[in-house]
Amino acid sequence: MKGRSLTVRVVLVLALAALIPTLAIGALAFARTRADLEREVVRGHLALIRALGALLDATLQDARRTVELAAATWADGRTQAGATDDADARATGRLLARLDRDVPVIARVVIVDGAGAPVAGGALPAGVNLQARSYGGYVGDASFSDAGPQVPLVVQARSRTGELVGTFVAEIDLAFVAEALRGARLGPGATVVVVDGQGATVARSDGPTPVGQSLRGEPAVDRALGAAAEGHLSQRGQLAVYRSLSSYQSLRGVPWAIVLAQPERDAYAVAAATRRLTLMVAVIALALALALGAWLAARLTRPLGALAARADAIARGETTPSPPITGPGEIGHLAARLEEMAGRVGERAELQAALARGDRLASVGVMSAQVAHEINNPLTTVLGYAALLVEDKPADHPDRAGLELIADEATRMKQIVAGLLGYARADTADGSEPSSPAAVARHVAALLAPALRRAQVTLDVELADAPRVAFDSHALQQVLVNLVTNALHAAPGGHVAITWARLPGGHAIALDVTDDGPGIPAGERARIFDPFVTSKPAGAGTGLGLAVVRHLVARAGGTIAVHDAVGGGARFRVTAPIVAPDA
Amino acid sequence: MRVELLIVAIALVACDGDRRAPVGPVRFVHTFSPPEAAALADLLGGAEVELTLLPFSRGEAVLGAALRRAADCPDLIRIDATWLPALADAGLLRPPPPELAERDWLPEAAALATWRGALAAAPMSLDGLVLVRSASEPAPDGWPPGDLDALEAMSRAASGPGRFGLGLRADGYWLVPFLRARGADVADGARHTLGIDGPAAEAALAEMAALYTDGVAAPAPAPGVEAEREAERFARGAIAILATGPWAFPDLASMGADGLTGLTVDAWPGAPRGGQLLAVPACAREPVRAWQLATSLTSPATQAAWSRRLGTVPTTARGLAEAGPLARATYTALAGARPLPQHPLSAALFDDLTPAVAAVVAGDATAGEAIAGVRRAWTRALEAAP
Repeated sequence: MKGRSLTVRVVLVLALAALIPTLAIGALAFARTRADLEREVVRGHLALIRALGALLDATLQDARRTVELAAATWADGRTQAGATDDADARATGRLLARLDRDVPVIARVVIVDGAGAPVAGGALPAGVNLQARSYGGYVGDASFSDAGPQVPLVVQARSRTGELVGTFVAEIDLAFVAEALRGARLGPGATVVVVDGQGATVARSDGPTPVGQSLRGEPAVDRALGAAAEGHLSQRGQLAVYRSLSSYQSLRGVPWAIVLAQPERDAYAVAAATRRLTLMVAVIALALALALGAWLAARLTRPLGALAARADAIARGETTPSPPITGPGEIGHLAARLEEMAGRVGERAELQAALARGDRLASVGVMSAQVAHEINNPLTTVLGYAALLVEDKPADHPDRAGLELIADEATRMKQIVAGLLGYARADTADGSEPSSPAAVARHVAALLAPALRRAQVTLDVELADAPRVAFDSHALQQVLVNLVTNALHAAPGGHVAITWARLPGGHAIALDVTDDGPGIPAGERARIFDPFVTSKPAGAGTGLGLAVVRHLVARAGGTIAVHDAVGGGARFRVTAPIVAPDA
Repeated sequence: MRVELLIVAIALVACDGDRRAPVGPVRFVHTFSPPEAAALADLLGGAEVELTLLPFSRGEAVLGAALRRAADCPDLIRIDATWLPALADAGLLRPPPPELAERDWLPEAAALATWRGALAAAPMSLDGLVLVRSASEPAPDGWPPGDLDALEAMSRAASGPGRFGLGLRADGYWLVPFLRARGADVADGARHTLGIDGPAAEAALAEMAALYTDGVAAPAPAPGVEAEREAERFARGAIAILATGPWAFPDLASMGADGLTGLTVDAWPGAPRGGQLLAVPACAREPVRAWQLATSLTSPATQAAWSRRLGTVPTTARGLAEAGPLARATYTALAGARPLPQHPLSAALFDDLTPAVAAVVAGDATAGEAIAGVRRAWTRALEAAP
């Protein structure tokens, strides 16, 4: 659970680390993209309606200049000296025919004289105000009929002296505006409308022009007709870009406007696509980051979980070496240190158990020593009188056999008491002086050389490089004497070896006494170090030797255990802390 | 500017006892130049005002037609002072509220806005022809000119390669000082005088045209781009003395490095004087709010702010006192100018006079031929006038 929690946390951190910059960059990209696109869309739409407005203006300008030239020519002809009415009428007819032929947008031309009387072309179009007397001419209000929208172009006919001779009124067919709008390359959903000052539709790009339909009330149209120049408006999901046409030369004073409207979803389709793509990339990137994070987290936490399990096992006292835990960097280092710590804990636990056992045995030793001391004196008296009584009785005396038995048993009791006193002496030995295992072993070999010869046992000592141990030399000598003696008893005519090995962690060594005898049965190994337990024939041992050995080893802070030797026999392993552990 | 905006906003929302709910924005049709239109838009901010720009040259005809038709009628109009008599006589205007007459109007402004003895509109600004020079250039000897002869002499002296001594427009309005200097004038409908019936008018027109042919006056720009062309020439020093009015100050300031402070203004003897008025049409849907807006736009504080920004000449004494130095200098220069005859005929006079001036300047006609044509046209107009 802890490992999973850690994994979840690592994945969460990685997800946040991926998500936060993704969201921040994405939000920034969205905002910038939208703002830039809005600006560019508005700019592009404005450029388009400017171009359309310029086209309208250029056509009207051409028409106006042509009509102005015709009007000036006509006025000069009217004021020339000697001009006759017939000649003037013929000239006027030719002029109107040429205008009709050369200027396709002119539907009809009406000429009136300076007093407003008709000269040619029929009646004045409705709504034309000749009293305006505007110098340079003007474009009037649009009119709508079944033939389509038209607009009057009013041009004063002035002579070369500037004198007003008459007025030309040309009806401009505005179908060309609708054709221009329909020919414009508009974006999806976009429509362009040209309206006059009343908001009536003059032309539109998306179909035939509805006659007289007023778009007043449309926010963009109202804004356009009130604007001095151009602008844009976003409302109710529609983007509208508008321009007042009254700033164009031909339309000065004519509050017409051109409006391009497009649904925002179409106008900003690129932004939406970019947003979708960015979101998709972000989601994929996030998913990849999460997957990668999960994999990394699992890889990171798996050894941590093993470490936690190992720590739990150590806490339960399972300090025996386990399969190595591998991990990258610090985790591998931590695993190695944890295993090392486990070894030390195990050693420490064994040592503490040994100490506890030692304390227990020490109590037994003190008690045994007190008992032995109290028994020793009366026993000496018993043994002395038994010997005197045996000496006083002749060899065939019927009591002699009983007295000899009393003396033998007393002697045997004496040996037991001596063993108990030896146990007591071991308990009080001072183990503060470190010793060299090699030197002690050599001394033991010398002491036991006669016994080894008698038993025809060979002893190999391989302790040349063994470090000094925190083990009193006399105690260590007693330990080795006991173990080697047991070995030669167990393997007469065999082979005994004393070897050493450095334990993991480098804080202790193991001294092994190995024989090639019959070994210790597994069922007896648990009790073999208890006092008065022996595998020797009755009367051959006191059962205190290995108890004393374990007691001495425990006092020195070490341990002793018995194992099967390689190839048979027994191997007693004594661990002892070294004085200056190697790194 | 914020104070002015606040005044306008308060004025627009203020209640004067008429508790009818507003039916929509105040529709304001004006003839401001683009810089003035921009300043107006800034001033109004988010106020409920719908602005419509009319070019000055077509303003009278379009407005007259719209007011007569009474359809889609504006609530407030900004007009030239010469348009007032015709519009008022036709009954197309509403009289202003009495409190507007109590404002401290300058006498010249009050006279422009008064028709048939009563204030008929709110005077917004004064204008007329003045002589403009660059403040960074030394004044010609004897400056300012005391009469037309002195001006012509100084202009000729200031002329040289790549530099014209005088900037004029081939327009009847610019001919007026020449006419007056030579003893002629424009027709006066009230007095039924033709003004150009003697040889002085021909002499004046010939004298004006000679300035072009002699290279003293800068070539006349094409119609419609006069302001921009003048400003461009003046900014690069191609015109020494520019005869123009306050309407041109924003363009001149925007082209020059020093703005309005880079201009110096003096009187042109015999120049015409006029002004711009705010009026409420009879067909206005929101007359009360329209007069409130007019009152706000002609308040001394607003006028002073506009004069500092655009050089316009205020029409109130307090506005003039708080105005910028260029506006005050223009007011002083216009003190000797004379208004055009206040008559319905006056605005239409230039429909004939301007093409005549253009024809002579272009070499299409002699001054005599042109003045003869104008004379015939004005005679017909006087005969038709009430």
